[in-house]
Amino acid sequence: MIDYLYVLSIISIWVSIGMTLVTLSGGVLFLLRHLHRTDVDNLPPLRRTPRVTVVVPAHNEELVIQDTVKAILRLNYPADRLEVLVYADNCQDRTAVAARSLLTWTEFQGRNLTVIERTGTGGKAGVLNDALAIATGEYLGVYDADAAPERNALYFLVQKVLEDPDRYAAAFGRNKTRNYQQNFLTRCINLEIINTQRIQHTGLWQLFKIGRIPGTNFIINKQVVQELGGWHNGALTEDTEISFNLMRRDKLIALAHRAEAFQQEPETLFAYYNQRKRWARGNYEVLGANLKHLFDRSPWRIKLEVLYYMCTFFWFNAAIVISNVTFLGNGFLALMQWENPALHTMLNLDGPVAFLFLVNWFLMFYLYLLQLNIALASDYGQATVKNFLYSLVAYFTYAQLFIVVALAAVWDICRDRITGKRRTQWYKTQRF
Amino acid sequence: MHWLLWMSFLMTGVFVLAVVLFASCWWVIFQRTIHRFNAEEDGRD
Repeated sequence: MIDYLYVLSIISIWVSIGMTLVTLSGGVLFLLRHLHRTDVDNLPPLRRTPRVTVVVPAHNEELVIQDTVKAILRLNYPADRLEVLVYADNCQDRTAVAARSLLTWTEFQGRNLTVIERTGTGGKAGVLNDALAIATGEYLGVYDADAAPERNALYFLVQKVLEDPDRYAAAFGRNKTRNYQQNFLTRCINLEIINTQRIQHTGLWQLFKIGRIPGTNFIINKQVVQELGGWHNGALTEDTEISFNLMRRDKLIALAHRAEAFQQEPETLFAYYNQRKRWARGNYEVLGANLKHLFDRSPWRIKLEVLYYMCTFFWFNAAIVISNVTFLGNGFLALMQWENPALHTMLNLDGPVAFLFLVNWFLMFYLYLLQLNIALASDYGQATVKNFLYSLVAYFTYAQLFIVVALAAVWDICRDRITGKRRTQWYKTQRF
Repeated sequence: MHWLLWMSFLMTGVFVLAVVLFASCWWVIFQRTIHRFNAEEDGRD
């Protein structure tokens, strides 16, 4: 029996290493192909400039809203082709006033900026649906209230969709952590985000032309969203859901890697925990709803995505939980043996098996470090000794937090299923 | 158990090769980014 468990755990490790190697290959290939310099001050004119409606959903965001809207109005895109809709969604603060006051600035006079005070339901998805009904643009762009786009972000997004407007229903850029120097947590989040965006996003796009809408810093064809019936009101992760819906229609979500926005990340464990638990829960729910596509006639991309999510959220997660429990349990029992030598540890690995596991663990750890540092090397100013040391420590600390978050999300879902109530609390990510 | 052991030596060899390959890619990316970064900084000066 125990032999089978060994085999299963070794296979788990190999599959996860294999998956990492595949994405890493794609990511590295993409990076090597796109290392040439772009003269961002002298960009060639776009083939055409479709009208774009940029939507900014904001819920009590008076601290950050002005910076974001300023950055949007200063985008390198013809002013007469850009409509900006700021939604102050059920705000109790001065978000709307702060955004509206920008219209009095000489710089922004005559700009197509509308600030709407909204009291409806549905959260962010509700806002996006409202915007969908009144937007005049051919494309809808979305920027969260804390995500200030870089000057050329929209230019690169539009440039990307115009490469193949029929196929590319949407394009997404990358988000950089604005406050990464704040503390240990933000430094770790920064590492994670750079890794996701420089390796996973690029890798999946390079190899499989798979992209996911990240929630902010993306544009999407308005007509396609209308055909899809808009966003699912109240969905915890409306982004994952719309990505799946697009893929189901065989449309692509293209990566415009030079379109950058700066985002604020949680600075406290509490804010981090609530944000990530919401994401994890939403992902489990979307996964549950899409599991059937593994066996029907859906496009292969959606099958691959479902499989990828399943491996990460069910298989690997369970494997890590079991591995951590065994490790801690063994450690505890080994300590107790000092008191009572008659006690046995749970699992006694020795000889070749122990060697095998050690080598595989080391490989995994080394691959983690390598992947993270390839990602860091490709980003301006991030390949530092400090970040290398943070990546070492993060493996044993920050990376383990995900397990807690995923377990809490599973617990929430089970509890709601048993009690029959849905307690979806939408903790707003606190701004600083 | 022994077939697994053989398999893992084989897989380990493959992974080590892959890791060496990626390590060299890291070096290329690192060098080029630094070079590009310096070039852009010089351009600004």
